[in-house]
Amino acid sequence: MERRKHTARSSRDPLKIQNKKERNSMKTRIGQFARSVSIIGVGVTPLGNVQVNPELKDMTERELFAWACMEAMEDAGLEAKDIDCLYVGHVFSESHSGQISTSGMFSRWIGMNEKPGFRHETACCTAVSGLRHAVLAVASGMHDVAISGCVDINLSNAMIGLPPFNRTPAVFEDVLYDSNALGCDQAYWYPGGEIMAFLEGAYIAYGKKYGYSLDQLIDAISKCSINSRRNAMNNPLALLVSENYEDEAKKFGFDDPMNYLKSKFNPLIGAIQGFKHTTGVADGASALIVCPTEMAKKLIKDRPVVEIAGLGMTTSSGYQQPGSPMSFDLESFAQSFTQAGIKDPYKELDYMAIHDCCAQHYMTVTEAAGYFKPGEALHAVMEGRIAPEGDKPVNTSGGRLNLGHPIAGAAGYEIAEAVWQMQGKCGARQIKKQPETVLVHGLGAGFHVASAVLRAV
Amino acid sequence: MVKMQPYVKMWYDYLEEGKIMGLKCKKCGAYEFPPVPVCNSCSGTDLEWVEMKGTGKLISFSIMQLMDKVQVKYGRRYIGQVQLTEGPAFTATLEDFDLNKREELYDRLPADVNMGIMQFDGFKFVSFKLKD
Repeated sequence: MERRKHTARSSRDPLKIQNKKERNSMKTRIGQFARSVSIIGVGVTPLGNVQVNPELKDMTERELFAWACMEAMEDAGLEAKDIDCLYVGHVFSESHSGQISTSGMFSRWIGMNEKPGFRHETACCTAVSGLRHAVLAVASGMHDVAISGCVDINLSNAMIGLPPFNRTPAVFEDVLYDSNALGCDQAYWYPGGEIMAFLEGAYIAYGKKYGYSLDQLIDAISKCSINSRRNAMNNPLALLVSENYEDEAKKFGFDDPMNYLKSKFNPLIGAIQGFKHTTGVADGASALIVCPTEMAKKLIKDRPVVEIAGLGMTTSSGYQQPGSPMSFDLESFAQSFTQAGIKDPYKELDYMAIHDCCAQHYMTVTEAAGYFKPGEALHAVMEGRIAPEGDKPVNTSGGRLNLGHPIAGAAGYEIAEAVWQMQGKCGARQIKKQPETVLVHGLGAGFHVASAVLRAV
Repeated sequence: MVKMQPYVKMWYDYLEEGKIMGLKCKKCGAYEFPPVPVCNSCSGTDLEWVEMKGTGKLISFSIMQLMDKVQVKYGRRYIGQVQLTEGPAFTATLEDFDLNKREELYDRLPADVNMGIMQFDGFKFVSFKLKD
């Protein structure tokens, strides 16, 4: 198999620019898959709270995992016996579920007892890592059909010694510690801050670079939150939101939701970002099934087949990423674009799915990908171009900001949304021109950036 | 034969002595700060402990207001993202700047900073202070 070096990174490396030399001289060698692989089925559960929402009430991780996987099998038109291996993404298996090695326990729940598989996690981009595992298993020729399912229950904890439907509500400070501190290197990072502060720093550097005022930066993240809430309100999977920001603002005496999001009702959690500019965790699961493209084309006749045209993945110790764009994003995208043959992402990408745990990623991450030109995204957001009806749509699902953040399964919701967009299944959220080429971005604490280019074939 | 050292403890021990230390690659001259045993620039494994200059540029900042069960002990504070003079970047507390003057700090970016050492609960860690 031919292995070729990519060159997409060098000219865009911020470390190189800032240090006047190439700090990291290593290049990831990116080859091509031994055979083309496509997504044949996707499945997700609604996102909510297993102790509150009737749709999810009393379910354990097992039912959520099985629900998403069974949806994916139904979507693919396959049964469990047709699938060769499974990958189980489960981030908080120890701290919230009181279990390790859950792939063993969950396999029987989807009819795959004694099939090969393992549990894995890369925090919030676990589902893109799961896609990567599944694709590589099939592309290598070792298996024909692979399933990746991801699950977490984040809003409550299993109780030691009791059957797992007995749960105690999670304490906010504990959830915060789990979702932020566990993903910060305790040796060299955590005393110097945490993830949300770090990511906000990238946005402030972005604003400085392009001469935007702090007020402009705040307005842009508010606009992103309003757009995201509107999308989530059009998404029946979103159980944790109940009204648009326009209506919520009126209840508190504000005619303009932009002013509401600048008020005391959106308390600051950083220098400029408020609570409603960031994500809230949720309980849920997502799954996807991949197989050779040739096989997918035989099985799927009524909708476009979605090929995984490129994969990217970076690992990085976080605290060494100064400014914006962040080099771990650039490198991951460069890998995906190299494999997919994307030369001009601005022209070639029809839709982008980002990990929007904080609203500033609509600016910093989209520009790192070249989906917007440098400095353009802030204006694009203010002009409504990222909405489903805009010319540069992003996260039509409502994303992590308002659909909810199930940690392990998070990116699976965006992969599913991308597939549904490419297949024209998104209803009120549907992009007018069905996208044909899509970039998916996943950011996991630690850090990891896992990305994928999806292409309708 | 690999000669591994307890890098993390050594780094914290140096901070107790008032020294901010990093590793310099003997092969390519790049710095690893904080210390790790393999050079991420050239893959070299022969690195030596050196005292850092203690200077850098503040590239960006945030304010820690989202307090988990540990961070709550340290209260609201600026977090600075700094490009050190030797090359590596680092993230740590920015001390002695008014939390109500975020616009002024934003206007001053990129700003020269000195590195300092800050006392936490049971250990010391690197911090930054604006020059002048």
